[in-house]
Amino acid sequence: MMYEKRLHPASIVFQFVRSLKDAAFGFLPVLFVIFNNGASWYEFSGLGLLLIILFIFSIVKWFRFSYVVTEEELQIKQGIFVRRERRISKHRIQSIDLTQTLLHRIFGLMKVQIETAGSDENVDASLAAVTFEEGERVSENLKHKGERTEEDHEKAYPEEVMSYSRLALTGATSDNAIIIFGLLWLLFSQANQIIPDQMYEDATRWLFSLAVQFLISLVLLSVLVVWGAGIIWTMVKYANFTITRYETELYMRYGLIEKRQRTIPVNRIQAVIVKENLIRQLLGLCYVYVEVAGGVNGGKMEGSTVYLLPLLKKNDVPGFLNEYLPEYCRDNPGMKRPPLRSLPYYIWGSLLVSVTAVIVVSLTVPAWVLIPVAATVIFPGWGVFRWRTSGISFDETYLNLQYRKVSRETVTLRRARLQAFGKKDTWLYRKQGLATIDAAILNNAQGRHFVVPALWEEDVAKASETFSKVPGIHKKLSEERGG
Amino acid sequence: MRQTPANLIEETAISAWRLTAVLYLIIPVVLLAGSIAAFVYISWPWWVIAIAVSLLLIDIIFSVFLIPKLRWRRWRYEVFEQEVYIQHGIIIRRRTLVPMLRVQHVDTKQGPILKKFSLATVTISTAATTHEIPALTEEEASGLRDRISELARVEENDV
Repeated sequence: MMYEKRLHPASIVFQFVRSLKDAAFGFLPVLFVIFNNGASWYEFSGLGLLLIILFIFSIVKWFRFSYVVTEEELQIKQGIFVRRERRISKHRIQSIDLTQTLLHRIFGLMKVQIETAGSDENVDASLAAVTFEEGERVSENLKHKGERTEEDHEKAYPEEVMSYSRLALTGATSDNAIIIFGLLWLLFSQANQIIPDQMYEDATRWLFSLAVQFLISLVLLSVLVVWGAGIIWTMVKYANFTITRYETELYMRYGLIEKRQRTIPVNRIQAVIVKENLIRQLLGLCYVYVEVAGGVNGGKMEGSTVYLLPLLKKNDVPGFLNEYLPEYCRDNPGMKRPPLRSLPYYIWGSLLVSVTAVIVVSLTVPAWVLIPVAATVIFPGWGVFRWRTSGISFDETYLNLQYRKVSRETVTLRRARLQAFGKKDTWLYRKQGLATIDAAILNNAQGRHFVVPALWEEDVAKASETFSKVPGIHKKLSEERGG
Repeated sequence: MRQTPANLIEETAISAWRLTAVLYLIIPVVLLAGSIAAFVYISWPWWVIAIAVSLLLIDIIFSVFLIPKLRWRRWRYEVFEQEVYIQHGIIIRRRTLVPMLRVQHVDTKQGPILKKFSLATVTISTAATTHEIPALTEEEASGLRDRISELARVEENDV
C-alpha cells in the first residue's frame, strides 16, 4: 500500500484533450490561414508536429506524476522539469469528491478531488483518473477514521435515497420552471392584445389570426419542451441521490451519466440553509443545503451549494436534520419579526427604482408607461413580502435568520461558527429602535454575510449578547445606571 | 452592542484624510479645467461651467471639510480579551464584534500620507472577513497588532 502509484494510462488521453482545449486559441489563427489560403503540406505537417508534441507532453506528464497514500497523509509528486512534492495531512482534508464523467465511465475510471481548508488552488490535489477500485480505496483511506472496521459495516447508518418521481418534482419546481411559467403567464396575458378583436371580423384577417394562434401554440409547445427537458436533466443529474450519515461525515452520491460522490466532515459545516422558491413555498416544499468551509471548488455541486437533499417537504425538515445533522437541528425556532415601522425600509428602495423608471419611461416612450407603473405596484408588494419573511431567533448555541430576496431562506448558524457579528443602524433606525444584523461565516472561498435589515434593535442586541463574551457592552448606558 | 467602543483613533487622522481628499481633488479640477476649455474654444453654454464650479465647491465642502471630521468622530475601537469591537460609518453606523478565536492574522500598514503624519492602520483578518482600525500612532498600531496577535493565539481553532 505504501509504494508509489501512477494514474491510469487513460489519463494521458484526458491530459491530451485538456491541453488541446488550452491550446485551441493558439490553433485558431493557423486554422484561419488554412481556410483562407488553402492548406499546403508544410502547414499540415506543422499542425501534425504540434499535436505529436502535445501528445508526448501528455505522456511525460503522466509518467512524472505519482502518488502514495500512507497512514497519515497523501503524497503527490509531479512536474516535468520542476519537480513538486506535496504532502497533505489527513486532518487537513476538508472533503473528498469522487467524480465520473462519461469519458471516465467508458474506461471504468474515476476522478478523486481532495480539498483542503485554504482557497489556494495550488494546495488542493486531484487524481485525474484512477480505476474505480483504486479511487474507492484512496478515498476510504483518506477519510478521517481511515478504513472502516467490520463493526462499522454492520452498524445501520441513516440513509435516504431520492426516488425518480421526487426528482421529477424537483425539476418541475426549479427556479427555471418559475421563469418558464412566468413567460407563459406573460404570453397569455398579452395574447388578447396581440390579437385585437376586430381581427376576427373579416376572413383574411381571420386567417392571419389563425397564423398568430399557430405561432403562439408553437411558442407554448417549445416552452413546455424546455420545461420537460429541465425535468429530465434534473433526473439524470441527481439520479439515485443518496445521503448517508456516518459518525463524523456526511456522504452523498448521485448521477446517472456523470457519477459523483462527496464526503463532507460534519465539523466543516458552517451553516444549514433551507431554501424555498415561490412554487415550492406554495406546495410546502424546499431544499436543504449547507455552507462548507474551504475548498477551491468548495461545495460546487451546483453553483456554490452543497445539497443535503434536492427536495423535501418543509414539514419533514426538522425530522431530516434530527437524523442526519442533529448538530444543526433546532426545532421550531420561533422567529421574531421586524415591527411595522420597519416596513418602509423594505419598500422604499424598490419604490425609488420604480418611480424613477416611471419618470424615465414616460419621458422617453410614453406609450409603454404602464409597464413601470405596474412595477410601482408590484415592487412595494414585494417589499411587504420581504418584510413579512424577515426574522431572527437565537438561543445559547444557535442563531437563526430568515429573509427573502426572491426565494425564502431560513438559515441556521452555530454561534461558535460565526466569523464576525455586525450591527448596523442609521440615525433614523436609532430613533425608531431598529437595527440591521450582519452575521459573517466562512464558506468555500470567501466569507458569506447573512444580512437581515431593520429588525428590532432589542433582538439584535440580545443576539449579540449571546454571541459575545464581553459583559457590559450590550447594555444601554441608561440600563447600567438604573441597575 | 449598545455601548460605543471606548477608544478613539488619533485626531491627526482628520488632517491625513483631508490631505488625501485634497489630492483626490485633482480629478474634478481636471474635469473643470476641461469644461472651461470647452467653454472657451467650442463655446459650451455658461451654465455648464456654473454647475461644474458649484459641484466642485460642494465636493470640496464635503470631502475636505465635513467627511473627515465626521468619520473621525465615528471611528472607535476597543480590544477585549476575547473580542475586537469596532465601530465606523458616517450615515450607516456599523458595529462589529470579531472573536479572537477567529482572527487569522493582524497587519499594520502605512501609506505615504499616513507616514507623513506618523500614523498607521491595523488590519484584522479572519478567514472570511477583514476589519480595519485606521490611523493610530505608529507605536500604538504596532502595540495593538502584537497584542491582538497574542490574544488570538489560541489552541482551539478548528477552521
